[in-house]
Amino acid sequence: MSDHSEAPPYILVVDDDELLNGLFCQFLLTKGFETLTAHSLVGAVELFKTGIAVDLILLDYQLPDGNGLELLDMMSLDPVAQHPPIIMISAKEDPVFLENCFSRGVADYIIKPVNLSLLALKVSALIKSVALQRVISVQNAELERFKKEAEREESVAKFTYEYLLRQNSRKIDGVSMWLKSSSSFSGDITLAKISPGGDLFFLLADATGHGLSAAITVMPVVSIFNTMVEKGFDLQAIVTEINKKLIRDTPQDRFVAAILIQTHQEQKKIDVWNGGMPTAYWVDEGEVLQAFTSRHMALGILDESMFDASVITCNFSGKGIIIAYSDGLIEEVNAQGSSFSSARMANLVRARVSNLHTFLITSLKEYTGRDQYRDDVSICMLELDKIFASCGKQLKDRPPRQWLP
Amino acid sequence: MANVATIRMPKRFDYSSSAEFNTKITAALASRGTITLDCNDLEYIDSAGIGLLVMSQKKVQAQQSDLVITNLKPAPREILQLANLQKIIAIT
Repeated sequence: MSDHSEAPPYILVVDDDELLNGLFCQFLLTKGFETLTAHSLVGAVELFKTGIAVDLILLDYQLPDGNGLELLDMMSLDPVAQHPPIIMISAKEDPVFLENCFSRGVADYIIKPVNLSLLALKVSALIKSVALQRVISVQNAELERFKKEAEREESVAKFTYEYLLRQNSRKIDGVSMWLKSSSSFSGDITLAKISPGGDLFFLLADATGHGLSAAITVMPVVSIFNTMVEKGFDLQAIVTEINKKLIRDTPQDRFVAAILIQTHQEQKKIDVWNGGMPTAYWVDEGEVLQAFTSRHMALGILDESMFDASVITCNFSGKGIIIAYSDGLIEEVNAQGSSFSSARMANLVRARVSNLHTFLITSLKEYTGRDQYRDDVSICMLELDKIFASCGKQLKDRPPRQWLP
Repeated sequence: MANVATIRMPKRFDYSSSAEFNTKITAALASRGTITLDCNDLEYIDSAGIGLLVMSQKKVQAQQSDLVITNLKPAPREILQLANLQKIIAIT
């Protein structure tokens, strides 16, 4: 095909009748096309071998060295593959013959004696179709390039994101976190860290939307949580700061629902702040000791004057587990379109099973009949006795402070 | 405050609804008053949809108008309550 979209289309006229060939060329020139001439199949093939770009072939069926259909074979053109469209010229009108022409890849057909006006219309229509195909093919190539570029950028961003998560969360005995992403990036995030004072800080957050945009929104949450826990701030200061940062640095329609938990090692109490997350449960032996319902709006919505950092405080009795999860869990649907639901969760957490965390994950899979979900789904379990033991051990093993004179 | 516009919410309200919804909110803000979001058809709203409502509330508040949500079905009502949206938008 012609390389220059601005240049007039090139048409190759293959006809052994020099007079007729010249007439076609002259007529097509008057219609704004450029023409090339061949008088035999061999001549046409030779022309193609020079690499010349042709937009359409006007081909006489009866040629001295064979019939027009043989040109397809001689040029080794696959009738299905893209090649210049061919208009066959012949006096034959036999339907079987015509069918054969079209099945071999001929685009159109014109009967002798040739009606020049009809020829001009057919040539124009095919040239337009070729131009359109060319545009589509360019756009497809462009789309493919964008797609590859996006994939490359996403893989770099994913690496950075996962590195950030690895750096900011530690495996702590008694904390089980299960997260299933609906895309490469998760809008859900779970973090657990023990403070210098031996308190466990746990966070489960769910950012607006899914994928990269959701993941970007939770990134500031990760760094603030990590830094402030390390510096010994309490839960209320941490949620206040995260809220402030999200209000300042993220678009108005972006926010992060979150539940944060602090276990106080020395005072033996638990603080919980729940903003926009489903009810978390503190359960023991099938009994719900406390339900931590959402009392606040998600982080990143209310400005400082309206933001409420108050927490629910419970005394730790030395037993039980806390189950926290994202709304992706209760909104997942089964084959009948019924959601897993918060009511089902309220019942399931009362189950007397050896491992409630595994039980809930399995229950979701059995209910939906799938292990890939529409939304990001997280289920976390905090085993309080183990956590208090872990925190106590860390406090005991901590190197003594070095006082400088 | 007098009702100046009623916006009929779609069956699904998520990020794909943003362009149409924002256009309707902008048009409704031409007059000061109460803008009612009629949720009779609404069956599903996700966090992006809640984000759109929050953003609209801020726009409406800046224009000294009100936003009211009505006719919520149980499933979307539960989602909005979970998000505590009633703290900033009246739900009737």
